[in-house]
Amino acid sequence: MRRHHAMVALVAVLASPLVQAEDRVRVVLNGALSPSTRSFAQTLSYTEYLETATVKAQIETRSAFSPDLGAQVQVFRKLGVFVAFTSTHRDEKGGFSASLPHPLYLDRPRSVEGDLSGYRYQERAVHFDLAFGGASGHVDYALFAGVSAFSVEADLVDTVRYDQAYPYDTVTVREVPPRTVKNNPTGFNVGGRLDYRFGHSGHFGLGVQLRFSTATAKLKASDAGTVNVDAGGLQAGAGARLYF
Amino acid sequence: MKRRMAASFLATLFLSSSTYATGVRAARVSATAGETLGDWTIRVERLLAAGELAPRLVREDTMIAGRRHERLQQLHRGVPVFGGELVRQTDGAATLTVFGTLYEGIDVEVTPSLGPRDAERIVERRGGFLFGSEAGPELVVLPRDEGGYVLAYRVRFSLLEPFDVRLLFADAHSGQTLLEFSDLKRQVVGNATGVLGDRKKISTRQSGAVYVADDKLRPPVISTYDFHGDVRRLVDFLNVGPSNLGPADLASDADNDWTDGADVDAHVYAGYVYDYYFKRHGRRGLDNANIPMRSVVHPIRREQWIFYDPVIVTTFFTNAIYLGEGVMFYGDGLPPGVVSPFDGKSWNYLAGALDVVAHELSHGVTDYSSRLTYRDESGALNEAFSDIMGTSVEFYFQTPGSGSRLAEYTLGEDVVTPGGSRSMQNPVAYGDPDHYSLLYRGPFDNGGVHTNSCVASHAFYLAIEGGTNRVSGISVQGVGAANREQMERVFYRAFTSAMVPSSNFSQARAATIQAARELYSAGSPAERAVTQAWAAVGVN
Repeated sequence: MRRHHAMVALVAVLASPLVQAEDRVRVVLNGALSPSTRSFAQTLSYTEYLETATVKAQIETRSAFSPDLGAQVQVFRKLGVFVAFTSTHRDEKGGFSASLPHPLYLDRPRSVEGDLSGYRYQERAVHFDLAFGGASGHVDYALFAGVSAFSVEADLVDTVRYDQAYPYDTVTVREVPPRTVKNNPTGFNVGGRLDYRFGHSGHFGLGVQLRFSTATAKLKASDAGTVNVDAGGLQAGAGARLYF
Repeated sequence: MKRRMAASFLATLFLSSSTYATGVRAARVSATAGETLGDWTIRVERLLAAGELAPRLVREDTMIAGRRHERLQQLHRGVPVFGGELVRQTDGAATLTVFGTLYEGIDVEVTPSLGPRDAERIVERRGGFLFGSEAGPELVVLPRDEGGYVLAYRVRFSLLEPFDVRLLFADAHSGQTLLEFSDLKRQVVGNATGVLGDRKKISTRQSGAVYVADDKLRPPVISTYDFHGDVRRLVDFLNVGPSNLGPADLASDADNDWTDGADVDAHVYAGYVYDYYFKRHGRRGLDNANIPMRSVVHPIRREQWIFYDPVIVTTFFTNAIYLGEGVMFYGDGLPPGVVSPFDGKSWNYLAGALDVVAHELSHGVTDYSSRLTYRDESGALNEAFSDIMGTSVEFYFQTPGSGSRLAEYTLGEDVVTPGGSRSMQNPVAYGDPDHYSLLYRGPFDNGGVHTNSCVASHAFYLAIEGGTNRVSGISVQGVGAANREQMERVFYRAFTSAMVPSSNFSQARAATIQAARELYSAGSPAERAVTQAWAAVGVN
């Protein structure tokens, strides 16, 4: 019976018009900060002038603000289903070093290094949680945990484009273009929410929320190598609450 | 309604992910017989009728009469699919073979958001110019390496600094560069195996279906010609001179993995010598103006040596010659196991020794600078300069040591065994003078230009390594191997800037001491070393 109720609620959240029952649904609208930075390393190899060119990049994603939208439906007493969506855009910063084969000689690579700029990282996640919560006066609280489905889209180093002239002992890097790659890993999340509701039966409130989510994205680089990136992290948000 | 929108958004999120995950499916076709050929024969006709294939090029077979080769471009709703093409060989109405690649599962709208002019602006922002008759911009469907297809503009454009011709694919909706690479096909780098079995890179040029020994990476023309042991070709060449060399003589290889050691080393080492003069001395080739450097190999097959008289053998088999005007000539040596009856040594392909190649090309440097007359003392200095530069090039590219492909003060030791043909360190071991008092004064070899060269080259050795001359007993404090570059620069400067056709040993001494002063100051270790070295070999 309980399972039946949960299924009905989930379907209601995803596909049906707003639940009609009073106070059974709360909409959570947060502006969230993801303070943690993520770093990952990429080693790219490809053939150039009959030898192996190697590019090593160290990339760090910066902290970012992001919207966090969700809806919670009470399905049984203090138990609810909470579905939320988060989209985070981060700038990447980092550097690279490359060993580029010489066109005329074997085993005499040219070395070059520099910064990476214009690289972006985007992470979207849908969190499917079970929420346990209650109310005390004007204050609502909830603890939640569940599965997170991520869509990670990150810029990795695609190649090193450079200019060279005879005698080719040095190169001038023209650009290190990114290649945007995607992966959809699944992970988990846990968190809590504390809300203040205006009036005894008002439809509006304010609240804060903390969520930790994690998953490992496996990104395929242009040389078919895999770069592992930790998605998610700690997210702190605050914003409006709507009650129906 | 709001919830419906949210659900739709979520659906979009995951739908886009699954679209991305869809890779490129390509049918690689190699239909030559049987059922497969029959299937593809029918399928090609259907695709042609449906407008998914269109003839791009039709050529009659030049090797088998009656056959025809059609290149059929794959189209998606009228737009060419980049890389999608079939080649159908027919004999009359019969299809004999079908080769190629067809991309499958294409689901791309072919109405671009951007126009061709937008693609041109991308090139303009790069400082490029549309290049050639196939410059475009052409709307194509681009199969992406990471999966999926994109409607794109293909543009071929040139850049001037440095010169390059590039192929660029820009997203026909966003303008984003999807793919870009150099489309300059002239120059390629190949694998090569030298005379001594060593692997190296070779700079070549693609010419039709083969690769030819024509270096396009260095500033001058550096090319290598292979006579394939054709004596009549050799005679024609000798009668007419360097202008007789033509494209048909260029050494070639079918797959750019070169295995003819003489071709390889003559070509690669000519490039090394150019590099040495440029990097060490700032010189641009033999004439300092990038005169073409041309090498001739395989003048007569080494197996035929037995049929020729000694003069021919020592000229065209066991010899390397600088012919003038930037043309070198390398003998094939003698067959394995054969010892020369004239010196008791084995002779491999002469081009296989870096110091030999550098020696010959340095004659060209002399030709375009001091023009030291090739007789008596000036001739000995001419030879000495070539030995000095030949050894210097060897030390520049090879590890010091004794043995194959190691740098040492012996000439030609990699291909003339045992021991090479001359020693700068110990000339008397080869019967050559190590002191001016022992100079050969007879008529042979233009007054002993080769043997007497060792007096000057021994002085060069002492100025670097130091030591005591056997005859004079005078000790020299050399600049040391770590400062080898100093003596190389001193001798190069003196021989190319201060010597004249009639210079003798005494003038060479004065010129090198002056060069040491100019380059490293009076009283410098370099000046002291070169002064002591000439004194040690008896030249004052």
